[in-house]
Amino acid sequence: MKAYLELVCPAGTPAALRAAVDAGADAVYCGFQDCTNARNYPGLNFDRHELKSGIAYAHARGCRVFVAVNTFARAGDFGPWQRAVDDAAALGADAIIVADLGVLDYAARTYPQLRLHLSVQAAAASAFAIRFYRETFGISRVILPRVLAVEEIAALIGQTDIEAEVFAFGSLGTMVEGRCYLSSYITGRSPSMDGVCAPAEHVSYQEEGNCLVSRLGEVMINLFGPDEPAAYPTPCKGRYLVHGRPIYLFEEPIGLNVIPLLAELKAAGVTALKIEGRQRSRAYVSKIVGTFRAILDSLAQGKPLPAEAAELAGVAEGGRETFGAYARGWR
Amino acid sequence: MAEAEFPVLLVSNALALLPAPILERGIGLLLAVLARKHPRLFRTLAAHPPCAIGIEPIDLPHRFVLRYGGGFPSLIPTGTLDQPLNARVKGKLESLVGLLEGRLDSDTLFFSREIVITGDTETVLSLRNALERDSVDLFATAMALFGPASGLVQHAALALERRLVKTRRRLMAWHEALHAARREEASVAARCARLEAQLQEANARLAKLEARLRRRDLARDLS
Repeated sequence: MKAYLELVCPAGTPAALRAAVDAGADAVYCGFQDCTNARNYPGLNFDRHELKSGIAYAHARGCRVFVAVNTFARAGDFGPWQRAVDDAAALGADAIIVADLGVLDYAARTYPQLRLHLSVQAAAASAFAIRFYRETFGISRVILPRVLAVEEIAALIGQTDIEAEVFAFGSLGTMVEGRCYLSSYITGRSPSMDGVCAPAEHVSYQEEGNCLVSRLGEVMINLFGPDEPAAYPTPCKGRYLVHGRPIYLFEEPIGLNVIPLLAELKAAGVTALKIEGRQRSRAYVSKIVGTFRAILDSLAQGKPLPAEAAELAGVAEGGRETFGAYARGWR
Repeated sequence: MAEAEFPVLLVSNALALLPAPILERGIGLLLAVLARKHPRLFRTLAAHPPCAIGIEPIDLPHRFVLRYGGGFPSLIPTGTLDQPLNARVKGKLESLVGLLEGRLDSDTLFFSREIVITGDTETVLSLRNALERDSVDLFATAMALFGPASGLVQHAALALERRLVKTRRRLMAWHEALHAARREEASVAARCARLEAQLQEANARLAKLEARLRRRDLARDLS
């Protein structure tokens, strides 16, 4: 059966990688346990031995593994990024996901056979940017930032004729990826340089009566009423006092789900769908990947969407879902 | 041993009955078996800076303090959680065991407020991620404590759990039926009260009409 769209799935741990492969992922993406990947949370990610075993497990089942080396190298300290590229290549990664110009240049020169995927962190949202990366570094695929409408994606793919991967499900940042400094403004740590948005050591939750209060550092991010779903303490989805009224200034806690848009995305020329959530559990990975596998297989056979498609709202942040910029463009 | 569903009703009922010292002894044995089965998990916990996490199953009379970092971990039952803690995790026993075993997604439970995590988030996140790497099967591990009789005990435990589940379903159905009857009763009583009020109002109007008629008849007689 010809794949409808390639399914690229998250793996924050070896157990999640196995869960994704077993649930039907076409490819899995993961990263090393350091600042070189954009999900550098405590206890998450792979050491070199785990990645070697993970790649062997995936390859034995026909699944590819992409390694994210997608933060921006620190000035005067290129070593961790160079080692990450070297080790990913040596361990047999099918592609590396990169954003930094220096890391792209190093990888393209040192490993010309290694596929390069342009990370969403590079925020390449114009045909000029994408063509520049392809002509300069030979990137094979671009992961498009979550700021484009479906029509804009179709136009970009038409103008660049490149493999495009788009986010299909999961947590939704409202800022342009790779250019957001809200969290660093509060915590001093940067999602782009340190790989963490709202780092856990700065996060706290407290119960106040029946309410739940979330804080990032000293900044109160939200107060959830007794029956309100809780959410991550990310500054872009905080509820702030504006003229004395608590409102969601940028975006409400909500998750991305493009299932109803899959046909449009396919028609736009999209190659692959990315499931967000390397920080989520293997139970989440198994459920989401299994559901998307069933949906994509049904669509490939011209069948209606399976019943599981309606069961994903409960796992979304805030218990609600959105099409994000795909339907309305970026605001 | 084949993987079996965790018998949450049986365990929560049993735990509620056990006195804390016996519970503590049982947990100690369980941790020793877990350490043999999951050496990597216990190495990760030992490498963590010393910390204490309060575990609060809302459907049990016991609270627990999990201490790890620098040595062998301990899980001590306690009546209250008023000692200094790095973090607290609160939820139903079923949710907490599901998290421990990696069967449930912590973020989903957190969004829906089925579990509440307070205090030092980094400590809880590190613990969650360490558990994610190992597939802990708490029930199978507990059964292993029974040695050669483990198969028999597991069979009996699961049979008892099925019975408890059936009984609970039946009780819930009765409970719902009773409430429905009470709701019905309440609605009949309210209707009676409304009719009673209408009847009283009609009686009062009738009395007024009769009085008016009497006054008219009297006036006619006098004229």
